[in-house]
Amino acid sequence: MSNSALIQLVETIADNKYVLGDRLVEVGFSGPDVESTLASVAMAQGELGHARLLYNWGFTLNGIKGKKPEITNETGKSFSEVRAIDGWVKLIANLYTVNVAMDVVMEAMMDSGDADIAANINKLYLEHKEHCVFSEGWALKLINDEGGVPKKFKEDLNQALPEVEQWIKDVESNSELSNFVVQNNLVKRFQETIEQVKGEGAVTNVG
Amino acid sequence: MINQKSEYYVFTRIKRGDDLLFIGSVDADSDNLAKVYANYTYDEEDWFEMFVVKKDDFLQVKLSDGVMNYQSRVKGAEVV
Repeated sequence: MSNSALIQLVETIADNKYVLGDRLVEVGFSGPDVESTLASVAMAQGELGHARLLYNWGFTLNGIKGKKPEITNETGKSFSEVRAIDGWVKLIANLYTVNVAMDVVMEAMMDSGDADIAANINKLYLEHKEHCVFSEGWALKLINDEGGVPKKFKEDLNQALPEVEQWIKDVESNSELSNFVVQNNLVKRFQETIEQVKGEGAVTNVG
Repeated sequence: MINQKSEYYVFTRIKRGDDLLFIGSVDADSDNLAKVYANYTYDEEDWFEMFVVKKDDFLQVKLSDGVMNYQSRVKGAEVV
């Protein structure tokens, strides 16, 4: 079976992490408070590290052995809304949406039981959870904020959703990925998680 | 932006069996954000354990000494 679909999948995750890492520094540097700024910059390092690991795995899947090529840019598979991040609210809306999507997909990849997948993404899959907690915490904060912030956040979230949802649909329906991803209820799980936060009127403190 | 921040104290243990150390604090809007902030702010060690505790959840047992300080004399028991 060809690896091309898996390479596409790995590169899509890598590209989004690459661009998010860049935006987390660029926009996150002017975060609303010192804690969130510090967390954004630290998380950017994490995202860029994850992207590098995934690109290198992609090179290996492509048959490149030995020293891997220098990564100077993304491969063009990042979501357009992620590339368009220009402010804190849009950053959180996209960070949250993309993090949830990646989490759902990476969990399905881990569930496939493929040893190569586990070896390549296990560590970053665990670290990614912390990024999810941060973006969810901020999503809940913005959705419960005052003035025009909740409206702006929901607008940005609704703008980010279609492209990301389409990507998950593609992952779920691509037969070439059936050995690498447990294609079960991915879209449903994604939608349920997003709806939970979107519909939340109150900030929760789930440990 | 609404400020619903609470102060959280950060405690860590460097190695298994070590004493729990108070190393600092973070301000956060929720328990989850406090955990993330603490982990990113105090990452100078590969801690064995790290905890955050909301400052408000600390129950004072011994107060500073003062004349006729009734609360300090009950030694932590709640005065009903």
